[in-house]
Amino acid sequence: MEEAQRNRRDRDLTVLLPVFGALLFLPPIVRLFTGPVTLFGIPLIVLYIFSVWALLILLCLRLARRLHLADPGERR
Amino acid sequence: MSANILIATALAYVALLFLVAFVADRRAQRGRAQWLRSPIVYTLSISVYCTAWTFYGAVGTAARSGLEFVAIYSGPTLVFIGWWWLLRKLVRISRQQRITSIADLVSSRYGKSPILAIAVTTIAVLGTTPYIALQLQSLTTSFTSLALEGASDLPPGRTAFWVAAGLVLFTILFGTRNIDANERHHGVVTAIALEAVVKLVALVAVGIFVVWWIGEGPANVFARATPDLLSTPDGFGPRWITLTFLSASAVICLPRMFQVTVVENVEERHLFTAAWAFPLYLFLICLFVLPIAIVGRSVLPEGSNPDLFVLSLPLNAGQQGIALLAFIGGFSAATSMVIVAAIALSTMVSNHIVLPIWLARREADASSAGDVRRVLLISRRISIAVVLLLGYIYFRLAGGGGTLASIGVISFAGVAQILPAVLAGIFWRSATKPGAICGVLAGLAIWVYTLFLPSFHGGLLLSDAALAHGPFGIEALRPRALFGLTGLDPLVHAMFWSMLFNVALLVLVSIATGQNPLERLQAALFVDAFRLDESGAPMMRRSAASEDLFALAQRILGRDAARALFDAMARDQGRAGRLPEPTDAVIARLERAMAGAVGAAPAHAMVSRIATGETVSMEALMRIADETAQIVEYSNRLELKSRELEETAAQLRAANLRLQQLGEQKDAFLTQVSHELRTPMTSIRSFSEILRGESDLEEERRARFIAIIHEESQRLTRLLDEILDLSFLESRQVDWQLERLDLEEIVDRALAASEGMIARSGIALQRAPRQSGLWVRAQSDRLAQVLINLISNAVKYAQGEGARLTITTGSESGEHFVEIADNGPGIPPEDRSQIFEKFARARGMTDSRGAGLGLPISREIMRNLGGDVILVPSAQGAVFRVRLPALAAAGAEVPAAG
Repeated sequence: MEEAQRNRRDRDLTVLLPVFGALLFLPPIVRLFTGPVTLFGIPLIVLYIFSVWALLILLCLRLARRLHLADPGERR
Repeated sequence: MSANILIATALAYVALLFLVAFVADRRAQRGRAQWLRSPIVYTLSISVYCTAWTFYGAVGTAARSGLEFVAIYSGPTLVFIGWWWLLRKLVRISRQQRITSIADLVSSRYGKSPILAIAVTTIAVLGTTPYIALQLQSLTTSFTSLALEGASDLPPGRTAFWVAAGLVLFTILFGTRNIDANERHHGVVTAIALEAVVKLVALVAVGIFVVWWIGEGPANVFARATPDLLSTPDGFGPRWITLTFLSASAVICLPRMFQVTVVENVEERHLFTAAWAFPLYLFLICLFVLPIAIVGRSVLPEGSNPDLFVLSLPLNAGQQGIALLAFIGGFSAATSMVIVAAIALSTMVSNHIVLPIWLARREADASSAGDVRRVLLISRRISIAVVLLLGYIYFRLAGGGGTLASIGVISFAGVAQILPAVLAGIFWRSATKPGAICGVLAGLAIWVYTLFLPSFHGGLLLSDAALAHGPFGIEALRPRALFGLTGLDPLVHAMFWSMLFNVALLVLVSIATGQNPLERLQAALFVDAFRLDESGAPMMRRSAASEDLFALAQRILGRDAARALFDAMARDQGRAGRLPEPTDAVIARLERAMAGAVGAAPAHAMVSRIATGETVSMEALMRIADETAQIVEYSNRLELKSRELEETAAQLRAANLRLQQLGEQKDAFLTQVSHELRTPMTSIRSFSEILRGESDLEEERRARFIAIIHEESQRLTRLLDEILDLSFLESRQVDWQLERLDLEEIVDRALAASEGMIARSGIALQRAPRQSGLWVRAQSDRLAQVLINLISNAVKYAQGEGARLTITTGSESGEHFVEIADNGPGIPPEDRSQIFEKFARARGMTDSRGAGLGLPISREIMRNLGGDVILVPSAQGAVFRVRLPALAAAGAEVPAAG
């Protein structure tokens, strides 16, 4: 029962992930980071874009692994 | 570096690719391709998205407009991390329907429409041609810039031509060796995966070299950046959004992307890996693009081509080896794209354009029309050559002009016109064929007019003057400011208008038009792909002969494959060794298997050619109608339920009303009873008070008072007896000893008992002739009681001169009866229904003796005996009929009452 619930939550998150990603990648949010600020010598916007990207990949990896394990039909 | 070394390296690399593809194909044929089917190979093959445009062009874009290049990769990233709702469905549908290309997908969804297939194929060819030209151009420029010595005597056109010719050879060898039932190319996919690794390694190697060798660490690299690079005024504006959208749609709709992502997908669960691994690949590819661009701008001399920074930076630093690696990386990127694109396009062109034309010319008889397989192979090989030739021509026409990025974006915008039809097709059941055709054609027309033709800078159809001032000087039709819309980036402008018309026409025309049965069936199969099991197949009934179907299958699938398929189908039917029955399932399976080779529309056309016509079977119609039927049935059930509820409610209301009436009757009865009891009680009490209070009462009066008290108490007792009797009778729990009686005898008894009463009143008694054999089963005392009661009533009500009492016996429809009639005033119609109710003394006369319980008691007695007392309608007086079921004439034993 609990597992089914977690599975459904994972699927909902997977569906929401691209929406979340689009929100972070598109204006107006992305414009908040275009200021002339640098962090460790690297411009903020570059750090922002690549961090968001990496974050999305990590989240997707985590969710896909969990869904894959929970998918009885595909596990052979 | 000499041109010869370059050519030798490239040839050696190509030889390696040949070897890999060859080995992979061989292993796949022997069924030992497990590792080839791993999700990693699948993911790597998807990275055919990163072409020479990425390898060289991304750096060029970064050098010109900063982070804008990221939009080309963030779109696909979003699509892949959102694989659950789009890619998964596309893969599932394509597996169920044996889809061979994006054109096949669209045509299959909209009723296997040939027009749509041709339209989408046209868009794909138009959109891919510039892209192939782009690869040729990057190959040529990278070659010439690297081979400094030999560059002068090798004109760019010649290099491009030989590269194109080599690619045609490779693609034909590995892309059209066989027409696989699944349209999967293990050899090519493996080679592409290898190339994906090579280009990633090459770009990362150049990146590491640039950042830590030339640039001395990331911080120092970004310190070199000119401030204008990352703060472009229009950064992250409409163009950023448009590019993200375009790249997202391209990763779905580009023919080569559809080919590797959907068609070549071996197992759906590979998406679990590709969902994150492909974005990761893009991430790694992009990681070093910006540093290379920044360093290139600061290190290389003014005027160097930013599109070649990847090559020229290592060259400039004297690192020939890294430069060669970079060249091979770019070579990989370009060749992999061209190979996959050529395969995908040739499939579409031969399936949707060549084959239908060939079939139409061979109208006569499909089963004896030669070897379709051969025709397909030849047409595919020619298509590959034609596609590359078109790319070469575009390269010569738009030649060298235009940066790599702008050419790629034009392609993206072209194939994006397919996206609305695809999305509507798999998510919106009511999208219709006319809607899809109108949307796609409108989008295509606007894209050609506002983006494709202007990309030739006046070289094709639209002259320079027309570009600047509109065709024929009509300002409103200027290709880059359509309807006077100015101030937008040309790409944003073109995308805005084309998508607006595309989507609007798709939606509006879909709403205005309907679907034919086949289209509705396909729409249901596509939209509800996840709800259907694997066998969810279109079920067209055709009276096809098995032999004809087998002959057709042999020519499409090849003899061995067809034999295997038919054997399997026959085994499934339990007819091993013979041809299978041409059932719906067999035809659907065959059609899908053939669709894997030639596409859904041609397969459908050919199978239905053999069969009789395009008739959709009853089953198919039923399936379509099923949904409607379910809704109708459901609503019917609801209606039934609500009707039942209404009935129950009505019954409840009636019962409630009856209860209320009973309650009222009970109250009235109690009132009556207490009233009836009160009268005798009052007189008893008052007379006894007199007797007690006045001791000097004379004897005569005293005796009279005592007589009254006695009489009243008798009446009281009688009343209580009657009430008890009635309630006893009403309970229907009587236990009478029934006997066989002659009705006439009971009448005699009743008359004898009433003799005194009749004599006193002076009423004339009239008795009809006696009948014989009126046998009934009853309790004699009780039956006599009823008759006496009725006689006394008649005597009571028919008074005065000429009063007459008539008693008749007889039998009627299995019953014997006694009728007691008087010629009194009769019973008024309004009282007739009430005379059998308790205390309902009719005719406004008071019964001085009884309490109005005589008739109810009589009726209850008769009902307990299995008969009844009724009031017979009559012209004069009151006529009561007492009836009982007739018994057999004589001798029959009387059973006990039960």
